[in-house]
Amino acid sequence: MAVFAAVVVVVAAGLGTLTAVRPAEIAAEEPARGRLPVSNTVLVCPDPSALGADSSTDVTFAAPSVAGTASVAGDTAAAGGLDPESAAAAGLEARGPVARYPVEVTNAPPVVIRTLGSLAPGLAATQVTRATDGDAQGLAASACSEPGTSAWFVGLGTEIGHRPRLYLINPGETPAELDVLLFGSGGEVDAPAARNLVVPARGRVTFELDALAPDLKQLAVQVVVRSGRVAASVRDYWIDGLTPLGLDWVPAAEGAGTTRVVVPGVSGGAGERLLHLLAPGALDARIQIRLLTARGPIEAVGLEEVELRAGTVRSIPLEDVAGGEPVAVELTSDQPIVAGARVVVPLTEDRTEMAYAAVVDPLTGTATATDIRTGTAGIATLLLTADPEADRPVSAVITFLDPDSGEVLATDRVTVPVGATLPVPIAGDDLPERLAITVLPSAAGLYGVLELVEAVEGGSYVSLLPLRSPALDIEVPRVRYDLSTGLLPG
Amino acid sequence: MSDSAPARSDDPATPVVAPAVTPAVTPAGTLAVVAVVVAHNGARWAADLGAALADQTRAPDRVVVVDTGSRDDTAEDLRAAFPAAGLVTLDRRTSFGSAIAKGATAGWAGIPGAYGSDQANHASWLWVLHDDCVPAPDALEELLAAAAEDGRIGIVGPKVRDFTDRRHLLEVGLTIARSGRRETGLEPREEDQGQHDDIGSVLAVGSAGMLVRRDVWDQLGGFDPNLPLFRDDVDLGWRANLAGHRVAVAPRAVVHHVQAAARGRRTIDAATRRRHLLDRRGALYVLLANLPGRALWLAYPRLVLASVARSVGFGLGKLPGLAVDELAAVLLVVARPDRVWRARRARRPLRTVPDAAVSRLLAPRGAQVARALESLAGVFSLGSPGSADISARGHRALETGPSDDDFADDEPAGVRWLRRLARPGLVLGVALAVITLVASRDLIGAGRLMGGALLPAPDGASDLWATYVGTWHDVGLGSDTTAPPYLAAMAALATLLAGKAPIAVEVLLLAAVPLAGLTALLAARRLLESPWVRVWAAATYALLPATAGAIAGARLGTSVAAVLLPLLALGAARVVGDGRAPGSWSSAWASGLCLAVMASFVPVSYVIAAALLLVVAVGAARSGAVVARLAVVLVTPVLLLLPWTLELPTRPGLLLLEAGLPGPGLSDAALAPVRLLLQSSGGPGALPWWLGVPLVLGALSSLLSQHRRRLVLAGWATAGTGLAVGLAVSLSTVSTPTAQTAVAAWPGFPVVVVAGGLLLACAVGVERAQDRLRGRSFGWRQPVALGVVGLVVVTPLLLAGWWMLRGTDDPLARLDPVVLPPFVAADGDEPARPRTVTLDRAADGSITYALLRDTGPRLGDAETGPPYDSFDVLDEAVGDLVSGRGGDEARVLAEHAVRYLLVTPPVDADLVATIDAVPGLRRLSTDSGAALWRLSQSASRLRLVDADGASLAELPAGAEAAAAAVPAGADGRLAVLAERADPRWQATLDGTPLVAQTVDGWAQGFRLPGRGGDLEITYDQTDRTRWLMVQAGLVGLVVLLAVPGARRSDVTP
Repeated sequence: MAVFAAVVVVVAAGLGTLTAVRPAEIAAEEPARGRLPVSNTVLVCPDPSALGADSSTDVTFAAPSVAGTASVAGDTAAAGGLDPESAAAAGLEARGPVARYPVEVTNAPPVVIRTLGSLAPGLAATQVTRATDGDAQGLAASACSEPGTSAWFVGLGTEIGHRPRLYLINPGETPAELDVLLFGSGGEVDAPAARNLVVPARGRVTFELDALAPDLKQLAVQVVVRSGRVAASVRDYWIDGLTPLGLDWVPAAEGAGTTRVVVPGVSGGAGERLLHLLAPGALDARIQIRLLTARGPIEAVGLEEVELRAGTVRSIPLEDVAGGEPVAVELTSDQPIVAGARVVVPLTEDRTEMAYAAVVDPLTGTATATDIRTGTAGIATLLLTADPEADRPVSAVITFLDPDSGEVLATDRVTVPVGATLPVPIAGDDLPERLAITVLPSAAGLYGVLELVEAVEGGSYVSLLPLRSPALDIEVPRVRYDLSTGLLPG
Repeated sequence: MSDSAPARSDDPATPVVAPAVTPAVTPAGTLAVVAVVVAHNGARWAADLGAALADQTRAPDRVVVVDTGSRDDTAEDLRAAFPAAGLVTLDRRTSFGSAIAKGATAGWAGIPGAYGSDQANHASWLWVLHDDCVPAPDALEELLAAAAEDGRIGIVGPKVRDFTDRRHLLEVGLTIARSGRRETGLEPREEDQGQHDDIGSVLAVGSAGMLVRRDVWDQLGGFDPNLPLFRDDVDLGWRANLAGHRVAVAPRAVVHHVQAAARGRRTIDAATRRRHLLDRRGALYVLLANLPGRALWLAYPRLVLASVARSVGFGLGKLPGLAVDELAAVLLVVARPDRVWRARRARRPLRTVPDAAVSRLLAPRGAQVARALESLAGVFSLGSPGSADISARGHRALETGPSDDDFADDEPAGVRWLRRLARPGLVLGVALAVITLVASRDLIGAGRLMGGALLPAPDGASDLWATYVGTWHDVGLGSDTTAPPYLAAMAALATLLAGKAPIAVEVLLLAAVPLAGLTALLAARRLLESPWVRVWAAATYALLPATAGAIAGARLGTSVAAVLLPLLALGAARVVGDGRAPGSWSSAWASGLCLAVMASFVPVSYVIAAALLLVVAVGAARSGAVVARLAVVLVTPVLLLLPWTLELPTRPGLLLLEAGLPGPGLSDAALAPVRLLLQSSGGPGALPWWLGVPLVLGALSSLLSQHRRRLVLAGWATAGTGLAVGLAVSLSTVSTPTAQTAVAAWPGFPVVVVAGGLLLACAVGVERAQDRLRGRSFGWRQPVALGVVGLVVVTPLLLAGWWMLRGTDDPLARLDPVVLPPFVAADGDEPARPRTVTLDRAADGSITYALLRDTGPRLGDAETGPPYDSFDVLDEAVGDLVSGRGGDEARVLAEHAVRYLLVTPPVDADLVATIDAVPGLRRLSTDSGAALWRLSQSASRLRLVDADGASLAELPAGAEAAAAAVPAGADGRLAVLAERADPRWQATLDGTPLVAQTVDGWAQGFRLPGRGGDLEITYDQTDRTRWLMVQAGLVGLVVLLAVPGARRSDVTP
């Protein structure tokens, strides 16, 4: 009995003590290695060609000085050709200043801005073409884009005179294979010539969309890259006989595959405002539309709810409901939708100018605009929209920068009420004519579009430049070496 | 017959003294029997023989005693008992055959129609008797009666029984196997129940009590003088058969025989004293002299080879004398082909019947295999309580000689067979095998076992050997990590299994339960009295939840160690020894070997064994020999596992690992300590906690009784040690070189030890339960004890049921081990030796990847990989690659000689989309649903780079060493081998050594001069080779020392 008791006591005491002193479990390792700075950025400016005698293009780019970033001596960002070995036309050696590469020749090759290392996070570039003479007249501003695997363009048309052109540029070292899908009001357009395309390494393929799918009042384009990466862009110009009716780049619509999207920056003023909607999924969509005005969201009378057949594009005129105000459009659907808007501004009796808006993602950090003209050279207005789903007003700090030195000239802080669209003029007494700005939202849910207007005789050329926050860093998953990877399913 | 006729060939120098031959008692023409007794120091039995001769119901007509130089009173005693006997005295070196011949000559003397006459002499007979045999009173009468029944009978022999154990049947006729083995066709220790009384013709009969017709004797010339003692009877019978005479057994005639010469109860003076040499030489000679001519040319080499093999066997059995005899015998026969030739020439005129008619009387060809199986079956039986020593028992089963153990039952043969079938050991083995089959129902089919901690086995044993022997392992970026010694054990087993490595894994993993049951049964024989309690204990041990968990989690280590643990316990018991048998040195070496194998699979088993054996050593401190033997047990593994042992001080974590890949999800980091006591090790296959309760209760209740207190306490001490080590293990974390996730260590084997200890304590209680329940009043204890015992007894059933329901699979699975598509794997053999990175997204969102060289990871790769910090560069590149962060990942991959990226199905669509977008990769189509990319730039194991690190050219390379022609070029070039830098990499250019340099922080580079030449890169294996030779030597030595000294096998005349 004594032995029995002794064994019981010893075992119980041992186990009890160990249970009590047991250390905490092994901390589960984070699945992500963390957010790491972007290490490599390639931006493609698809077509910086001058479009005629009185035409020029400025390619500008900069990496803003923002918190958490620093330049490393020796790192550069350079604008060159598709061949990475080609001579740099312009370059940056530090964060802050704006590099400018003016192009005054026609048929210029694409400009590729490459950076490796510390100038890569937040790099932004714009190409702005000013054409005041010739068939294609207008102001066409576009953010140079990173090569990707998918792109949507909405708001196009191929009626007589519309000449939208699709640029597919592959700055990489391997050929890219892709399909281009076209959607019209009747559904997907059969265009075999746009299937199974190969964009060679360091190559460019250009399509005239009016030749591929003529006579469509509404056209949406999807680029699906199957291997490699491609920078896709669309520039539209419209001519009626000999009368130029406008020119602009069509921003790529983001948010494809989501059911609530916002098209910010539909300019105010006279002229046609046409909202294009596409339901790319397999099911018909029911879409609620709200306009986000200076006074907040309003339901558009007669447009509260729109039915949209799957795979079709539909256009909805907005000019009457917007009433000349700059607005943003919120679309809520039961199916994924893509949307964009065309802005037509009358210049004279028979001439117009065009600009495009599209669904963009809200700003997630600093957005940079590198080529703004103020004073006598132009009028720039920042159209800020606060997401109606935001729980409180969103403010933004706007920093005015000297493009040559990168110095901060002034800062401005604006607050946008929930669901409202607020035009913020980029103006000031001491500002130089050429300017760069950065916009930093205080919270999520702010959309920004820069409306650029440059006055010429008889009217104003206009272009809309949606602001995007280029990634400063990216989440890198934790990577573990595990010998059995691939051996066992699941 | 002339030159081998005994009458002429015997040593002429030997004086024949025949002073007193009794006058003829039989008139001419009537049946006369002359009995010849060869006496040689047989006084112990002479009186019995004399009395028996006197008592014969049909007395021999004459008796001749041939004394071959006895130093005692054998002849006198015989003649005292049978005064009429004549006496012939011969030299003590006279052979048995010539002694009989001399005796016969003397005996026939005066009998009409003896030598040379053909008048009715065929009715005369020669009765051959030894001084150590005692014929039954009616023996001669029955022999003559049998002979009278068939006129063709030339030789008739009695049924021979043992002298002391009078039921024990020794012979009913004799034959010889084609190996030379003497065959009686009887089972070991077979009782005479008349079962062989219907025997017909035989090849030969033993010379003790043999009755030979006189004319046959004359025709054959008696015994062959080349056979001084043994095998002469077989030869005579064979020749008689060849000559067309029938050799028969008269089962009603019984002779009791001591077999004194064969069993070494007296010295042999006839020729050499080496019994085994004589026997084997005789056997070979008889075969070569009598086999049909066409069989001879095969028989020669076969017998020589077989003899060499047997000699090696004797050597291993530490019977060097027999080994020498064996070789000497074959040399003696082979060295004198003239003797064989002359013997065959002499037999040629005899051959009157077809060879086939005689050959069918030889032992059937399968007899020896059947005998081996029989003795193996003996292992399954529980045996009698006294026979704890399994090896000695198994050996005894092979003997044809008598046994000390007497079987006293009188069951008929049929019932005995039934009883044999119902042997508890057999029942246990069959039941466990069936349970295992049911439990592994989902693991039947094609493919290889893998999953859990197990990587699939390679195709052949040679692959395992190569991994073990190799210094440089082509795993990941390559490594010089010492190969784990368990690979050698696996390779050895696979070699035994016809080189099939996958079968070795299946045996060790799937058959672990039945095997553990059988080893536990062996151990239980020594410890437990009741056969059925032994079976219960063995079944419970086999079905332990920790073993089931080890199989489910594919822990090869724990399953092997669970099988070996009872053997180690048994070995330890024999090392210490007890009242029945003293401790043995060979057990110490065998236990050391066993522990070495266990420790190679589960290093922590050494810690547990060391702790327990130290306790035993303290207990036995007064016996220096025991302590020394225990020290042998503990030191042997340390030496045998060199040089792996030397790794332990720098990598103590190895003690916590076991064979295989300790992936996440295979162990439980939050395992409560009390679960270890409840015999649960956590991880896949962990059983409900309450199934562990009965053993704890049973072990506790055993403490309440005084019965076999020491054994119960030993059980608890074992359990306590296992518990302590298990707790330490389960509180630790481990990671291996090739799976860098730290996971909780798995206390599988310590839990097996805990359970084993509890089971031991329990078993004592169960064994005693009956007495306790019947005995004194325990008050409240009695019903409680009854309940506990009932619970404990049904535990194996519960465990079996639970295991069969759950199954052995998951995560263990049987799958196709091929990872890479065939053309990718084929590419891996190109001179560029490109590699493949496989990627996958784990459940938690992190990315896992592996760098593969050929088909995929194989057994042993988990332990031989490089330390995982060497993957830093690759980790970062893969991270960038799968995040789309952008960069020059393709270049980094190419520097690692990676040409392909593979995501095996089911593919993660996001992952594939991200990789699709990575510049420098081109998607290829596959037919398996896998996503595969190829680098656009070239990737090669050996590259030529310029001073700035830019690739100049690819060079061909082998799997390990590389040789390539290098063109001339600028100074400052490097040859870069995409292997981890290691000082043992060496390179020469046209024979000139090159200076090594580490490139990119990891790769092995060599500085090249501007001139071109032949580049050769090799890896220096010398150190490992030396170690392996030392290790092989040590293993060989220990095996030799561990083999139990085989008992001297007796030969029968």
